[in-house]
Amino acid sequence: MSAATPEETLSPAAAAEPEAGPDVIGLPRGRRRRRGLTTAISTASVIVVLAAWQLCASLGVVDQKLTSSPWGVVQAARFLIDSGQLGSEVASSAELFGVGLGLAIVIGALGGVLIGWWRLVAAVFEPWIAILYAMPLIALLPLILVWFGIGFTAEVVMVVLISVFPVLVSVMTGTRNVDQELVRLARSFCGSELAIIRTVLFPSLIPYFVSGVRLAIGSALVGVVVSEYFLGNGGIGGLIVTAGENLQSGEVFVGITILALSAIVMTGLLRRAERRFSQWRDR
Amino acid sequence: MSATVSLTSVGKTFAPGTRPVLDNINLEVHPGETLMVIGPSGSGKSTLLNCIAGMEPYAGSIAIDGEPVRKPRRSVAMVFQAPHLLPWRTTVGNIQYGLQLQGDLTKEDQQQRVEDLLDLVKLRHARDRYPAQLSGGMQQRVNIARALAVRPSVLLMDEPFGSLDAISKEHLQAELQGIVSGQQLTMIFITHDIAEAVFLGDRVVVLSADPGRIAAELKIEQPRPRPLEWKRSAGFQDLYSFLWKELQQA
Repeated sequence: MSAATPEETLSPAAAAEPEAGPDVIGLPRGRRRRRGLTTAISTASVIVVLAAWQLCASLGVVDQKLTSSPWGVVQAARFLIDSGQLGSEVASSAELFGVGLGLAIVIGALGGVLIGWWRLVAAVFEPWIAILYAMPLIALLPLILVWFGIGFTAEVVMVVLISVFPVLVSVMTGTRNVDQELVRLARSFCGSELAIIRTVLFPSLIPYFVSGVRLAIGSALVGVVVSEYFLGNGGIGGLIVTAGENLQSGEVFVGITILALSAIVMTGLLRRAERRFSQWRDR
Repeated sequence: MSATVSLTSVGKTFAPGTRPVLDNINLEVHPGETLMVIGPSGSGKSTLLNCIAGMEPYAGSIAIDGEPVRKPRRSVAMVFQAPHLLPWRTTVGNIQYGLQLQGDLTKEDQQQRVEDLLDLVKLRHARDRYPAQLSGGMQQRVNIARALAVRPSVLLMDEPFGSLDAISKEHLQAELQGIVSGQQLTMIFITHDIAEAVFLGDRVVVLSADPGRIAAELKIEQPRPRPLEWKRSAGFQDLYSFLWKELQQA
């Protein structure tokens, strides 16, 4: 075909720079400038609130014992770091979070594929998933306490229970939404069931998996804090409880800040990973 | 390498008690022949193709080189109306897909075959593009290359150019002759476009609607390769008119 075939000249996608990475193509200039403005406003918002907090505390408008202050939080953090307590509490929470979320992701992804792909499996498990996904699972805490006692096992069970369903339901939905025409195509090439799952299902599940994991990160953090409150007494959750009981509001805020930052960092990393895995999208 | 496809009193009913979609279809497609099937919508053209592909149960018998068809087989490749490319694979990855599923060749041999096909369907410049970066015509060429990659003896085409604009369609029709001429293929090609049927076919079968039966048959004797200009000739118009009349009655 000659250089100016109609289908090539008609295609806007083909005309676009093929080398452009996902980061380069972005918003048009006007929207990019507006985005810069919104970032500036958001940053200012955080700074203003922190400054107001510090000011109120310093002027005695609020009781520093109850509210602490940004500077108080920094000092509390320094104290906790120097004493080595913060490091060990973070490590202990991270272990619980990692083990719990890891198990939840494995169980959720496997279960989601099995339930989404085979109707009979779905018939068995679906009512239970519907019930458990809808109810506040924290209500099961006393039972977990009775069954597993206080300790790491009970904590892990709680974290898994609370964070498995976002992954499971998301992967299950993704499995059901797989493009049936692509499945038919693979069958027409005599592809085995396993090959179809690997080559058609898995790649199309990535966005569902990632959004499930993103939700699960939030849930798992809730699970970690709740378990540490009630099923153990270490970790960031334990630190927060103890500090609260001793009216060390600065230390409470240190714990809260760590939780908030880790949630933000993890979802940010996940978004970046997702972009790498789906370069073929939005081009 | 090409094969004989024989259909003997093939019928298809989707639900018990309803009218059959296909009724008593008898056909013999010869090795290397291009058989075009045209018919109004509802004549069961695609269903017929799915049965031959072994993707759907049917009554009667369908045999390829004497062997009855009950499930998809490696020697038969299908080109669907929509390209159905895997959006996360590049042109190369998509062309290789069927080969990968069949798993008969080593990776190097698969890649070699893909490289050969890239030239045949003129997509070398787009080898690393994703489907979203390809035009409709280019996507359809990937679709065809993917089917050819497994070196089928029977190629089943389900209105592959149906969704293309008129100009891309003519280009691809002309190209398709060149693409398949060296391949020793028996081809069954479904279309609702009379001109396409006359231009590409060695033989055209007209299916009637409701139920789908063979209403007429026409041999196209024009030698190959057929230039696009042939479409504007009087001889072409006569064949077109004959099929047009048959379709009115079908």
